Amino acid sequence: MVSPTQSGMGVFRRVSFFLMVFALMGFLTWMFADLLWRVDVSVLNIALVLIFSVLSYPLCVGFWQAIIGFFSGLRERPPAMDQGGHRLPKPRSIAVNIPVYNEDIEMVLLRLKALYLSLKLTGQLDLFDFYLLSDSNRADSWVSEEYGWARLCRQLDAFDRIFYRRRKRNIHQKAGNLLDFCESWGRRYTYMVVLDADSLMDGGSLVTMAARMEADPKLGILQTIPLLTRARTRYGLLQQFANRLYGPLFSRGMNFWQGRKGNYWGHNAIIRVDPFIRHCALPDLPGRPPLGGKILSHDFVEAALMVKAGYAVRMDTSIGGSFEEGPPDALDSAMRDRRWCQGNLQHFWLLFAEQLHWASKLHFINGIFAYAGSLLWLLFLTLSTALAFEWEKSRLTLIPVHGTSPVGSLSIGAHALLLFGLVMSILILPKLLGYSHAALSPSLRGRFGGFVALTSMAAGEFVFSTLLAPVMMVFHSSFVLLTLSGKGIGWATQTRDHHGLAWWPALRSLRLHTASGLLLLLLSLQIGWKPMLWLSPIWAGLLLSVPLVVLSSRPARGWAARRFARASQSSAIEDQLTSGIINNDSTMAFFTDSADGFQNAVVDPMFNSIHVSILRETHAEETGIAVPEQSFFKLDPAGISPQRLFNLLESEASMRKLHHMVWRLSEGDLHPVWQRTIERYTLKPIFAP
Amino acid sequence: MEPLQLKLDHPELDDALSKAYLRVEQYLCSLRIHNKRILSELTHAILDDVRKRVLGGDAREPVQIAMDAIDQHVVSWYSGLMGLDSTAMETDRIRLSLFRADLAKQWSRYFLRTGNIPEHFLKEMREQTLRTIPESPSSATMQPELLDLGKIGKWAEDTWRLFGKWPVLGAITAGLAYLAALAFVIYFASL
Repeated sequence: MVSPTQSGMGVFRRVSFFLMVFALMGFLTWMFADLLWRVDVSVLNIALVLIFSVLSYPLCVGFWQAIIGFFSGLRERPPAMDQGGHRLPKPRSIAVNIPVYNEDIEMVLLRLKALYLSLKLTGQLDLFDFYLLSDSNRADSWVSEEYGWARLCRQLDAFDRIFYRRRKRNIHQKAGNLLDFCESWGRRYTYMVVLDADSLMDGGSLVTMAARMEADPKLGILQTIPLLTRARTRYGLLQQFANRLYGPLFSRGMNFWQGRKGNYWGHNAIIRVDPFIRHCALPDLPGRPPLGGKILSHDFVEAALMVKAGYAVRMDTSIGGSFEEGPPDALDSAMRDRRWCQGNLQHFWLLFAEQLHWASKLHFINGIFAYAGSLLWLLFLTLSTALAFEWEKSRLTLIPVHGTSPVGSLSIGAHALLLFGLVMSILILPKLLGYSHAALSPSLRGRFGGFVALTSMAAGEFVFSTLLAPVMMVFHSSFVLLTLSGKGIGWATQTRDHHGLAWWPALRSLRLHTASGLLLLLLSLQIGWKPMLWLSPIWAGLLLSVPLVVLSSRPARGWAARRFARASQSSAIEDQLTSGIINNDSTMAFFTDSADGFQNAVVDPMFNSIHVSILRETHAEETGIAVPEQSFFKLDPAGISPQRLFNLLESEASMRKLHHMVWRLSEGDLHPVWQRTIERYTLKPIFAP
Repeated sequence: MEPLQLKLDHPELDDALSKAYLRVEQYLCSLRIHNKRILSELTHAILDDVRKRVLGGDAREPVQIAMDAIDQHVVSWYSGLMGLDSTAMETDRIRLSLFRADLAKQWSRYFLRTGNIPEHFLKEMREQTLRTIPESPSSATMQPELLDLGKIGKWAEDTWRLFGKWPVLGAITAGLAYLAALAFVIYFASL
């Protein structure tokens, strides 16, 4: 239970943290306003000062979070992995939910298998049921999921433990998928663990989470900090390294101020089901999509509703064994950001909800800033370059007066340099602290491969992230503008393969970036070589965006790649989960042929029997489609509309009849595609058993 | 096993039986029978049956006869093992049983054979269903609580409703907003 002292401490921490943030913001804004107003007071200057003051908010939040995270990390114990005699929930009271949407199902099932076996080792497997909640709408994915699920259950002897449900209509995306679970089976469980398709969790961590929920009846959501894992591209490895080095610092800092009014990230978390069902249904927002209507980023809102209902939402930095996979390249990362951007901007409306706690609103604000901040940065850069250009064009000598700030008596150049240094230090200090934390700790330093390796990798990551920052700034700015202009985005599957981007598509996606970089370079050259150098990280990043993005998307190879990979995947649990099962287990691989899902479901006796059986067991409604005749097989399946194929897949009678027919037709009655699908079956196995 | 007696003076029949042979072999492979010896024995046995039916006057395509023969063999074998009525058997349920018993991995030598079948195999073969979801659902309704978004929320809701009713008004407002933004930019540029 939460004592009043705990609650009071939470308020004190939040208030003191944001006082520090506002104090630093005020100081920076004063320095900047003073710099401009020593020369001139104009509308443009005032606009620049206003934008700067808003922009300094995320900088200062990040700065203080990093400092607090650094110091709290000095006394933090290693991740707790055991439930240390705490009471555990009763058997089968926890549902582990994995929503999937046209995913690489082999990998999803391998991750589930790793978790299952890891839980088995803890001796607490009995506490859990597992649900594969599919929203897939591609025939291929649907059929593969069924077959893969059935094989996994057979392999683990878990037919009554791992469940598979596919929604016929995927209403309201992932949030709707989980809502459907809660409404259908939620009441059977006390807790539910929500995982993403790319989540990987250790069984011991799950048991610890359950014990912590059981020990605190007012704890509504317990969020772990997922570390990035299994990156194979250069981009992925750099992100993974940064996530390992700097992530814990920010998480601890964030945890300081949010306390029991924390946030939920939508996966790798455990949720108390009863209050979730009662209080966390998502309301519709005013207006229409993309800014209104159904809430896209449901997790933040669910956390806010849980807090509103009087339950705690806590982020637990002490639980390890929680992992996720990141996007393989910068373009894929940007695509994901496009969805998140729209979702976060929608949260704007909820800032006006009187019933929500102000700590929850701070999470919304931070989420909005993550994207809207980029547009402001772009605006700031454009206006400040325009101002410098204007001054240069006027050919007038600047006659600065003394300012009001402590550095107001310095020369205007020294004042500007000092302010620049201050802002840079605020930007860079969190990284420096993350690096120092690792460099000063013998165990961490060793994990990253020693002092020299750690330093060189941190330097490499710093250069890369500096050059990539303006690229992402332009992306985010365009996403904000697109969303504000009413252009929403659909629901896409995240790419999780690692083949690398081609030059031409990258150039098409990044032409705006390259052109902006060139424009900025030319403009800054017009002003003088000094501004050109000052702005070099921005124009260079933009100008080099295509090679930067393409080359970083390539699979990582060689000594440096091995070093990065080793440094950023170093815990025993992770090795056990990934090297032990995922990387070396071929038992789930069954797609060694190229036929699509519909053809497999018709021709393959096992796929067909599993599919038909599931339709029968789930009492799927017949679609009313006529059972096809023999002539159906004279057609190329690629020429049949996906909707018709889907309707056939949904019809038990049709699928039975099609399987019966296809094997009985002679070569002349089959389109070559069907003939080839049959001819695949030779003594060389094309499907695993 | 009796060897096949194909008549070489009927080249068309020979060709059709070859195709049927191939199809039978492919179907058995698709049932995950990957042992060469077992596959060959089963294929020959079924083809022999087909040959007899063709020579006995069955006018259908040998491929079709062969597939029916496989189904009949499988149904009678399965119903015999399980002591079930073969007329009520559905082949997809039997295929599912074969899958659940992991035929290919451990039991293929018993496929379509009788006598000395291990009890464990029989037990696994009895499973004819797949339960994908728990037996008894527990129904609940998640109803969103009303969030009061204050005057701004109400104003936005009303505006959207108004624009929905009068799209021209929405277009004029958007146009005016665009012109205002343009004027703002021109003003700054001229400073």
